[in-house]
Order: sequence, then C-alpha cells, then structure tokens
Amino acid sequence: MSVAANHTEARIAELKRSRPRSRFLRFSLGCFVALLVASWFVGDFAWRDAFSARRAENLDRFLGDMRPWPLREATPDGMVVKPWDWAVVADWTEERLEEGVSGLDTEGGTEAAIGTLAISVLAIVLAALGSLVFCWFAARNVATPQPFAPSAAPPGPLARWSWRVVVAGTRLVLIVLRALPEYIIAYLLMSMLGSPAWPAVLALAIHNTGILGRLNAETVENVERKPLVALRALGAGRAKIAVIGIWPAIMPRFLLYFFYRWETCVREATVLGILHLASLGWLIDEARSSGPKYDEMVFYILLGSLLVIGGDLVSAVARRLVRRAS
Amino acid sequence: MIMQGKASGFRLEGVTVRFGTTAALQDVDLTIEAGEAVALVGPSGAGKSTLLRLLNGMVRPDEGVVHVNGDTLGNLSRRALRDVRAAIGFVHQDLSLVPNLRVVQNVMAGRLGQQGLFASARSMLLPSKTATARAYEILERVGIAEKLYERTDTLSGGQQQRVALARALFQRPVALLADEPVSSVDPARARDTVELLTRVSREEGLTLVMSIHNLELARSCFPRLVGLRGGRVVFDARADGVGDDEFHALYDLDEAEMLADGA
Amino acid sequence: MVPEGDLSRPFPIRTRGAVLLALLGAGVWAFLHLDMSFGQLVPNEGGLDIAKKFFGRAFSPAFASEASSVPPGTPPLLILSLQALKTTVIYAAAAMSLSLLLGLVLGFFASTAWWTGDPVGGRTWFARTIAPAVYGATRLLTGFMRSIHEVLWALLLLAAFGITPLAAVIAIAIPYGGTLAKIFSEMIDEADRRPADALRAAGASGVQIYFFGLVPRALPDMLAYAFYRFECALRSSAVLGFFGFATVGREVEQSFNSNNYGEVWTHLYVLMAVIILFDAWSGQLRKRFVA
Repeated sequence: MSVAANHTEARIAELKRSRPRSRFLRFSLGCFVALLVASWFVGDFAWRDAFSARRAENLDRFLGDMRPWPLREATPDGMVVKPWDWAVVADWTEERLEEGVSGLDTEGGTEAAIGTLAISVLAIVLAALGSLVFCWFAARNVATPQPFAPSAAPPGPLARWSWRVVVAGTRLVLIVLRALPEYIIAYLLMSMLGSPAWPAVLALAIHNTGILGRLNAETVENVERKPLVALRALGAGRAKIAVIGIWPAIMPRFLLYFFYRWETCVREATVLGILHLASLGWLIDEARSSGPKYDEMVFYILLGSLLVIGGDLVSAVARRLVRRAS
Repeated sequence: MIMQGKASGFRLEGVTVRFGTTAALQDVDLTIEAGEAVALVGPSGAGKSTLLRLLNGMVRPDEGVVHVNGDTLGNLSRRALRDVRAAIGFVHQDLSLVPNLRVVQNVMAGRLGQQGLFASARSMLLPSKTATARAYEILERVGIAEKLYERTDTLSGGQQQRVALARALFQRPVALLADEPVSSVDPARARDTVELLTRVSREEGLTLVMSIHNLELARSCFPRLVGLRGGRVVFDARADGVGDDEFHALYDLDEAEMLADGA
Repeated sequence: MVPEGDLSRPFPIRTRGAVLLALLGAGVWAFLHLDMSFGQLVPNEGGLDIAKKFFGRAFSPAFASEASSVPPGTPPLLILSLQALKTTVIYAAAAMSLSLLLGLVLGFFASTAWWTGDPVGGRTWFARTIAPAVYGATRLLTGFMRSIHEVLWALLLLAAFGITPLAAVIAIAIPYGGTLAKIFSEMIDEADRRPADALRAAGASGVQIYFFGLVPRALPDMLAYAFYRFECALRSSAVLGFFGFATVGREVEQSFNSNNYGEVWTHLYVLMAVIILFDAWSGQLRKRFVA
C-alpha cells in the first residue's frame, strides 16, 4: 500500500474517532434496547406451557363458543354446529343491540355505545377546560415576572424565583395527573362515588388534563413573541395578553390535540365499563362472567371497535378541517 | 483522470413540456456535445429547471424526444431509466441532503442507483474502507475532507453545497447537471462554487450543464450560453458573443409582457 | 405526537366562538345523556368514609404490610411492590419490542412513499395493482388492531388460551403495533421530500429512497414517539394486573380490597416514580434531538 493511501486511511480513522457524538443519546438508546432484549430473558414467559395441547384445546373451544348461540346446540356428545342462517344472526344481533346480554338485566348494546361516547365527550371537554387552567402557569413565557416586557428593569430575585416555583409546581401537578392510568383512577374513585358515570368521566378527565396541560403549555411557549410584546407595550396585562394575544394563536393546535386525545378517550371509555360503569365494557364483562358467553363478549368488543373506528374517522376529519382553516 | 470518451452528450428534438395547461418548455431543439460546459440563463420561470430535469429523466417530454448519450429516454424501461439517472450527477437548488445524517452517509447515498438494496444498506451503515476512502478523496477535492463524519446540518450553507457536489461526484457520473447552485450563496462564494464545478468537470471530462441567474458569472465561467425565456430558446451562443442585445432579449421583453398582462 | 407543521394563522373570532360553543354543547349533551348531576359528586356516607381513609394515607404510605395476618413466606411489602413493578416493566418492554417490530414492518406497508412518486413513466403495474391493495389491507388491519383496547385484547386472549404471561405481552403488542405502524408511516410519508427527490435523481429505487432518504429524516420523531409509547405500555401493563397478571394493578386491587390504603399508596407511588422518571428521561431526549 502506498504511503499516500496509508496516510488517508489514518486520517479517516482519526476523523472517525473524533467525530461528534452524544453520550447521552447513545446511553439512552443502549439502555432502551438492552431493556427490550433483556425482558425476554428475565421474564418467565412459560413458553412450554404457552404452547401446550391444553392451550390448543382451549382455543378450539373458544372458537366454537364465538359462534352466536342460536347457531349451535349443546348435546351430550358435545357441541353441534347448526348451519349458518343470516336471518337468525340478524335477530340475534338486534337482540344484543336492544336488550343487552342475554338472560341479564343490562342495557342494550346501542345504548351502551352511546353512553360510552357520552363519557368520552364529557371527559375530554372537562380535560380541555382543566388544561386551559393549568397551561398558563406551566408556560415559561407567561409565568414570569414581566411577561413580554420589551426592556424593563430586571425583576428582583424574589419575583423570579417565586415564578419559577409556580412553573415547576404546575408541571409537577400535570405530570402526577397523567402518571396514573385511567383505569386505576376509575377503580379508586368507584368505591367513593355512587354514580356509575362520574368515576369514568373523572378518571379520563384527570389523566387527559395532565396530557393536554403539558401539550398546551408547549404550544403557549412556542407562540410568536413579537405581537405579544406589542400588546404589552400598549399596556395589556398578563391576563389580557393571554386572552387576546395567545389564545387565538394557540387555538388550532389546541383543537388538534383535543381531537387526538378524544380518540383515545373513546378507546379507554369502552374499557372502563368493566368496573360496572355505564359503558360497553360493562356488557363485555357481564358476557364474560356469565356463562361465559363468548359469542356475546366478542360481539360487544366488535361493537366497541366500530365505535372507536368511527371516532377515529370523525377526529381525522375534524383535524383536517382545523388544519385547512389555519 | 480524463475520461473524455465516457462523457455524455444530450440532444433535444422539438421538446415540449406542459404542466397542466401552461407550457414550461415549447418546441426546444438543443444539442450539447459530450464534455461541453453550458450555462442556461434566463429569468425565473423560463424553464431552466424543467430543461435540466428532462436531461436526467426526471421529467417526461409531452412532445419530442430526448437523447442522452445515444439512448432515447422515452423508450427506456424503468431499470434502464434509473441507470441513466445514476450516470448523471445532479446538484439541486435546495441542497436536498438528509440533514441529520453524517456527511459520509450523504455522499455514499450518491451510489444508491448503482446498488441493490442490500449492498446499499451495507454502504450506508457499514461502508467499506475503499468506499470511505473514495468519499474522503472526493471531499478533499471539494475542500471539506475534515467534515467527513460531521452531522450534515452542522455545516454552513456553502459547505453543504460542497457535500451535494461530492454526492454527485460519488456517482462517478458522465455528466453533471446543476440547478441554480448559487442562488442562495453570497456573490463571492457564488464565484468560488461555480469555478469549483467547472474545474472539477473539466478535470473529470464531464459534460456540465448549469442553470444560473447571474449572467455576468455565466459569461465569465462558461464558453457557451443558452438563453431561455418563456419556455423557448432565445439565443444559443459563445460567451464572447453574448452582449447587451441578448441580455435585453432575456429580460426587457419580460417587462413589456408584464405590462401587457397588467393592462 | 405527529408534527403538525406550521399552524400560524389564527381563526377569525366568529369561528373561534362557534367552535367553542359546539364543544361545550357536546359536553352538555353528554352530561344530560348520562343523567349526571353535580350532587352525585358528593359521596354517600360509606363512600365518604373510604375517601377519608384513603386520602388520609396519601402522605403516609405503608412501608410494611398492613394485613392483620400475613401468610408465612410472604415477602415484605416493599419487595412485593418492587416485584410487581419488575413484572410490569418486563411485560411492557417485551410488548414494546414486539410492537416496534410490528410497527416497523406494517408501517412500511402502510406507507405510500416507497411506491408512489416517480414523476416519469406513470406508475408501474406493481404500483397500480399490488402496492395499493397491500397498502389498503394494511391500513384496515392496523386500524382494526388499534380499535380494540389492550384490556379487551387481553380478555380475548385469556378466553382463547387461559392465563399465561405471553397473553399480557401480546395483548399490549397488538394495539400498540397498530398505532406505531400508523404513526410511523405518517411520519415517514410526511418527511421532507427534497432529499428523496435528490436520491431519485441519482437513480435510487423507491425502496432505497424510503430507507435512506425518508426514514433517517423521520427517525428522531419516531424514536421520541416510541419512548412515549413505552411510557404508555408501562401504564397498560400495570392495568392488566386487574385481570390476573402479576403486575402493579393486582397489588393495588388486593390492597384496596382489604382496606389497606397505606399499601395502595405505596404501590401507586412506586408506579408513579418509574413513569415520572421515564417521562423526564424521554423529555430530555426529545428536547435535545427533536428539533
């Protein structure tokens, strides 16, 4: 190899050694990947048991039980399958939608679906209102001694620090609100509040206030500064700037996040009924624990799936409208 | 390192390109010999970008034919079209680099058209020593070898321009096309960049076609100028033959048209 | 969240009013439909008693078991709580690795960037027939996967296979895989097309452009989103404890049912600590690497 080639190679090696790289990013990625891989070795997943003949039998029985019950018959020799009949299936579907789980005094599927929807709507509206209370105190450009002041005398240390405490405190509150899963919050509230709807609504609202509060605070921090400084120069105070200057500017993004989170609220609301709160989850759980009637359980799960897909579509259309308008 | 025999020539015969109802190019005839250096001049919207994109098969003519190095672009299969593109380096107006990749990876990306999927994955992720050395040498030629392993978005605009050129050269092209490579660079840098492009193409024996807004720069760096306006070739002359008349043909008429439109 | 681009134009005041009224109206409809009243927020006597006892322990969580009789061999409370936490994290991590795999593979097929976009030659036969069919099928599949909550997937898998740790992992991995596929494909399809165009001009194929022009650009966003989803997976994994799996949810339920409210707070704080820690970590990553 020529001297020149050797030199080039050495230079490349040196450049590579001294290339800028982030320890923090590498460390984070390394930890994350290691955690994902290690989970399969550390966790006891009972592989042999998971693929035993017993499981296969169980699956067989489940698949049989998924068939609507008028289309099968239990006999001493086991289950006999009747031929598929759309008319029978249609009757059965109508019964599920109108009367609920067979043999039990539950509400019908349609009613439960609308109830699920109502829970999600009320929860997201409450969460949005909640987040609009918190987000100002978590945004560093608003929660500061002299917001948007062009060139004022520097504030004293006491004012500076007390505002910093306000921001940090609000952010801590928001993070605590969103740290716990909705299901656990609903479970805890359930035994304290009698009404079947409030625990579900509050649980969703609490969690989403935490999430929307942070997202909206970020949006507030990213609002263009210039017009707000001008407003300030005209003598507008903090609240006035927020209402006249910031709120119109953040509204498009506020709405986008609102619909994003509403989608997940619909999804979560289908499940919270398992705690015997007024949603589809209630019917799903009733079907599962009585019998079990797997055909009806699967039916209500699919009904919930339709509801969620519908919610996704509405949200996608709404978000597109917002984007077009802004 | 002269490879005159490999250089690519272009020939356009009666080419028209339309976007919707507006014609970007109308009935253009143009021949560019292998190894030639040609500047395309004219106001914005004259059809310079479209002409360049015709030459490497990124735009399809609505009428007429485009010959590249003897191949007729319209007749080519998709694979053959990709081969033609792979043999022609293109330096874009916006730099079109992946900002969060390292410089070496952006340069390596120039070779994607000549590689299968797995070979390209290897050269993007674990490049061979020879490939890296070649990237280094090319970066050395354009003057930023020490940036080999920097993140591309940490480089200045002028340096990124050179990375884009290095990526084009890494293709081992037979021709180099450049679309307003200096439109967003200050005048002193602009001359440096244009001179770098013409020098490298001359040394490598590449055909060079560059669109350029600055007529003065074009006149001093290129032997041949092609003037475009409203999608038509207004003049095609040696640089020393382009004078005020041609200049007016490009720009003054434009104002007259604007006045006419306004009325 | 998916980058939304520039949304700088504020709404006119009339639109603002109308939108707000509509949203509040929807809230009122829901309130009435659910037969709700604010009076219901005042707990009855039994509920009030529980609430007092429960929130009274918020700042004095238990450090030892509060049960009157502990079966021999039961580990101390803190160990029990950390064991549940470990299981929670393991399920979440295993589920996350599966769903990342699903998300990347399905995300590729749910993306249009690799088979559309060559300006010349029209679309090939492949891009006119097979690719859109696969794309449509993948969008439907991922939509279905997402539309069923992980808890409901768990109920289905439990019914089908009986209780096994794998059921928890798969139950989380299915909807999360669908979500990641959707978000990843949107991030990649909406990534800046100019570098991709340059690679196409250099002769790169659609698949090469996808992997070397678009994916690298979207990667920081994808990574940040994956971290966020892992945080969600921790919560989902904890909730699955209410359905027979050995995660934090099970400890919460058992302690709450035996009125050992101090223990409940212990478990809650342990879970919250991990989630808040992870939230802060991924927040740092986002701040430094996502523009």
